[in-house]
Amino acid sequence: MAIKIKKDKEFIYASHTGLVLDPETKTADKIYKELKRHISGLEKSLLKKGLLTRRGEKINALKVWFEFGKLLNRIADKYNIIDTQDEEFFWRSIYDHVSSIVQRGSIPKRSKNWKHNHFRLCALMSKERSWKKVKEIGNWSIWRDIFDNKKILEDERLFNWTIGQIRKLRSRGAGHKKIRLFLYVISRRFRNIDTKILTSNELRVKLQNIKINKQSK
Amino acid sequence: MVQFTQPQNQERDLQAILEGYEGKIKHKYWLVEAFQKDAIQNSWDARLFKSGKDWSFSLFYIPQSSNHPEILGFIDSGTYGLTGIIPESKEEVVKALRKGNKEEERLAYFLSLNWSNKPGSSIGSRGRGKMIFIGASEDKAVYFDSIRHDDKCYVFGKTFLDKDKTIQVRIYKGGEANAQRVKIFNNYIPPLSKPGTRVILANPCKELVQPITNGEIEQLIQHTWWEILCKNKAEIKIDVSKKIKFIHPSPFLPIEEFGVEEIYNSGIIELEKGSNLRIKNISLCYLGDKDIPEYYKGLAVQEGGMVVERLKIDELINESIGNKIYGVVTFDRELERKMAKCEGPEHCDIVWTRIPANWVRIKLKYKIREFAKKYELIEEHKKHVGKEQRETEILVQSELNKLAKTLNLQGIATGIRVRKGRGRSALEKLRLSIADFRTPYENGRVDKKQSVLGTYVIPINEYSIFLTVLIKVYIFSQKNGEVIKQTEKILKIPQEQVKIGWSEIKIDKSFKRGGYTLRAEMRSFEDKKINEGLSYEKGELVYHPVSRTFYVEENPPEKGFFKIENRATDDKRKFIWIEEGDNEYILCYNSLHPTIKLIRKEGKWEKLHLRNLLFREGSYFAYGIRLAEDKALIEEGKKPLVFKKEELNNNDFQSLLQKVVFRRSNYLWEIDKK
Repeated sequence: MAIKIKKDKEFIYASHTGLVLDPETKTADKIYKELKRHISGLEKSLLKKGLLTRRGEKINALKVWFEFGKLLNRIADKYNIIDTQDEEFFWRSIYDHVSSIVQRGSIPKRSKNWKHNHFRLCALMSKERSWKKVKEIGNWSIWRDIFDNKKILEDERLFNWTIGQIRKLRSRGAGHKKIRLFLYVISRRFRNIDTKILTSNELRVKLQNIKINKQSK
Repeated sequence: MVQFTQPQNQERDLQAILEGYEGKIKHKYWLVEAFQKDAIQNSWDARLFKSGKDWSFSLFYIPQSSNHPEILGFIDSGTYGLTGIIPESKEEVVKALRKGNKEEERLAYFLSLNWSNKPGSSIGSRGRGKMIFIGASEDKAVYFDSIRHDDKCYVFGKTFLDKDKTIQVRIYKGGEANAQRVKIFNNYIPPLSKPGTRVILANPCKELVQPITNGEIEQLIQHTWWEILCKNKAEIKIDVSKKIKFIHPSPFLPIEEFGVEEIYNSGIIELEKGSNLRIKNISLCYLGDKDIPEYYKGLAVQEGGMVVERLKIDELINESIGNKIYGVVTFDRELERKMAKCEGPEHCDIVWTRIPANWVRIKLKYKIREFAKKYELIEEHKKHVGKEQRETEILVQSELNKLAKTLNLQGIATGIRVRKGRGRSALEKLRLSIADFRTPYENGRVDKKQSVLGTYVIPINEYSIFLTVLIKVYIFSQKNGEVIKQTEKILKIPQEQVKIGWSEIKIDKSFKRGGYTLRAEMRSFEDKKINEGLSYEKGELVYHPVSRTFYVEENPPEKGFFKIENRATDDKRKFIWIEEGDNEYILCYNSLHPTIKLIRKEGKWEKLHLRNLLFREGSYFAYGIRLAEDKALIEEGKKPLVFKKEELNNNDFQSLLQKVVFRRSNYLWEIDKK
């Protein structure tokens, strides 16, 4: 697999192997064209719906990023990009396609680590989640707080569980402050633990215990 | 018993102070320069608002008439005025001064000598400048009056040298003060209309009047106070016979005003890592063939909005580049406060041997030198050296750094690295050993086709209980975090004591030039109680990750006190010399120097030649720097670290050089004996 990205103002085919075969460049070109067409289309549609202004204001940031996530998930799934070693190039390449009304200037610092790439996080947010469910969690600033938590992002199971718990908290009327506290508890609990090596059952037990601890508080 | 204050000839003191200024300000308008500097500085330090809002300063001159003598003075507003106790006697002044409430007792401090009312960070903090006012008057007398900001009380007074050669003070308040003013000045010195202070000199010296009437004063104020004129829009005006002229911001400073593109702004530079001593900015301008007025030549050292000193650039970097560069250095608040303590008593220079002034000078030298090189003012090039020669350099570098360590020399920017998170210790019973890691060069460098050995870890468990652990070992590029190699293993320790990683890593195409880190971590792979106080859960970090670094086809960033560089220059002064680097001292040697050429001809870069030469010459510098630092410590009232206090009492150059020579010889004796 290879991804077409802009490097030093020129396009190159990036691959973790450093070697790009002919068929790979063809797929990379296809991905490139698809991204270009769909992202441009999405921007126009967001402008039309009034979710985005020409000056780059996001009238409803959550909806804008949700739509981006949905689109990128569709393309990434189509070409089986996720979990390949070239996934990082895919997320980086999105910055070559979005216009200045979405992203002004070069890649922001926090997106430089591909796991924290803004568009990857958008995709993670909308992955197998309807708009209704995403909205239930809260506005973009709550999602941003979740994404700022490296430990939660490291393990998709932990991420999904956290989202589920927040939804429950929200339905009980919990505000942003309470959610921030909850995220802090999770992050502290797993600070020294690599949850990825735990089986689902082992992780579940640990997560259940968090709940018990919280109640005892 | 009889006790009295020793009689003093204060006229002589006055003369000595004036001569002090004359010696420091080396141009013909030195008196007016000192006068305006002290007058504006006193006023600016007493401003009500830090921003300079509502502050104004006016220097006025009234020529002699049939009614009055020649008069020169200054008046300010937007200041506190001469606040504090209005003393009835000398004892009351001393009492007020002893209270140490410097910000409130402005009048008492104004009336005294060598008791300035300003905190260390203010520019005038020695109280000596006021004497310049008395000295600049032919009558050796100064009148002053003030409406105080706090109680709106009016005070009027006179400080003068009496016939017994002592400086006397007379002071009046309220109605009496007003009556005295009218009595002395009739109506040509009107009453003050708002809070502030006025100082009046009757019969000022000709040397003082001339540059004010001929307009030279404008340039003097502009070049000294450019910063407050530009940044604070400070209002300073000159009133000569009722003709008022406002001082405009300088056309040469900040350097951007000059309109030259060849400029450089350093931004914030931390003097010591983690400290709050910061240079705010070093701005430099390359003039090329352009010229600027004499007053602006050099590097202006700013404190509290004022130029304290202008350093001659060519003298600073010891290169004959003339006046091709000018600029400014400004400091952050904390450094400015400390720099104020390094100022000479006239506030016209800085004692650069004091700390932190000497640290600042080292940074300045480095930055200016780099800037000068950019515009090819210093024709000297770094020379690429062969592998063997580089190896010798690295060896000497390490030997010199060992010497620097014994001499307690800590480099230009030092700081203690603080490890974040949980620490580790070799005494921990559960740990990772990475003891066999080796690179071909001592400094961690490895070249293509060479190998890094011992790139593995051995898990150690000294508890009597088994623990299943997961060990991950990986190598990643420091440039982009890309993982080059990785391996992991689950094992039971201490039952299985194996090496995890690679016994040898050949540097092939997959390694590009740059730094790489070998890192290993150990996590528990089961929930286990080790003893009463210690248990691990699955996935938990058992031992803080260990790591080692190696550098492919390049040397690691320098961390020692010395770094060695080969240069090529026709400058005959340069054989082996020292330069200030960004974080270390650079020991340079000139490959065009006949002595070095001779060694090259012989082709023996090994021990007895270049190595000996560089080390032996370098050791002079190491001891020389130590001596300078020890002298600075003594000056601060601290204990010297290597030289004895008695050894450094004598400032005679020959004697100091002898001390360096002897100490060095002693060291060489010991190491060569081995």
